[in-house]
Amino acid sequence: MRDKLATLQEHNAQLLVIDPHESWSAKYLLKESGFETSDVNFPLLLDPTQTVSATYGVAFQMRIHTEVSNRPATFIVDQNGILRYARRATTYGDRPTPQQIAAELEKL
Amino acid sequence: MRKTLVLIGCLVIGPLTAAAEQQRSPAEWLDRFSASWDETTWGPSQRRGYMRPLDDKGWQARMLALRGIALHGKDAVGPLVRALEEGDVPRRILAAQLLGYLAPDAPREALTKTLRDDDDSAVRLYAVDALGMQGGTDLTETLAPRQRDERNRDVQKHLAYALDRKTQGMDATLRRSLVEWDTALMNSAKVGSPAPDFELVAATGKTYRLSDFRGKQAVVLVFIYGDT
Repeated sequence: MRDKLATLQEHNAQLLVIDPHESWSAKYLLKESGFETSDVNFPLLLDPTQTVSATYGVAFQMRIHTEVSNRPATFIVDQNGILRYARRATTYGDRPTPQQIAAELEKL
Repeated sequence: MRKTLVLIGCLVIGPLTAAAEQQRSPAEWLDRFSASWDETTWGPSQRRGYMRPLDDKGWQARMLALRGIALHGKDAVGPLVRALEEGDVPRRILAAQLLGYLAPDAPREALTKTLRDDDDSAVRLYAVDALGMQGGTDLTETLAPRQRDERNRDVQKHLAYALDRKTQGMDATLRRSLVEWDTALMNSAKVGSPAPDFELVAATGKTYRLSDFRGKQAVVLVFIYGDT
């Protein structure tokens, strides 16, 4: 995640992370991993009713930790607000690397 | 004359269809959900995570049912409790999830009973979430026996979340965000088109709107399932 952040700063891009939970479980997860909410230097946005997740086509598509959760996915929106990149995971670990995100940002 | 009638017919049928969507009963929504949600499409058992196929439509039926039933508010509680008692596993999970959104109108006894007796861990997990969302009363006494007896690790974790929030229930804006969601937005993010705008609250309490970054910065959106 730290690598990803450095990449984004170089490209003047903002990272927004969307978690399909209420703030309670999000904070608890952070605490469990040894973080406070204030330690996270990117916005961790909460989408507990999964309306934004459904808008982006990723809601209720993965069964994990007993929950019916979001399909992991990465999108890139350019400075004009146009969606330029979409990658919706087809397997659990299927996500772009920081290098792949950097390459996509180069193209903008 | 006939043309005029057809025209009037079209004008009337448009809004009527939208109204009919709203008037579908909770029981009808549950049936529509069951007809579309194929539990077997989770795919062959993987070590971690069961992913639905990319072209799966079941998740959309789930989303529509959640919104359609939430529109009924208090009146949905009876049919949902019946689903919790008599439904198959996917229906019981959906009912428990919705009873969370319907806090504080959801009956605590039914959720407590589900948390104790349901043999499916996902149903128990959504039931404990729903209890936590109720707020108002300290849950320590209700949940202590469950902390002792619950064998599923994930349900244990959610028992801890529910106790961690103490008496603070669900944010009142949460149900509204679902009820007011425009279903035409479903799966509407397409490469090459404007990214659908949204407003969400961060864990810090600050509100972010995607369009606030327009003209300033590119945005990388990462959807996670709750991992770090």
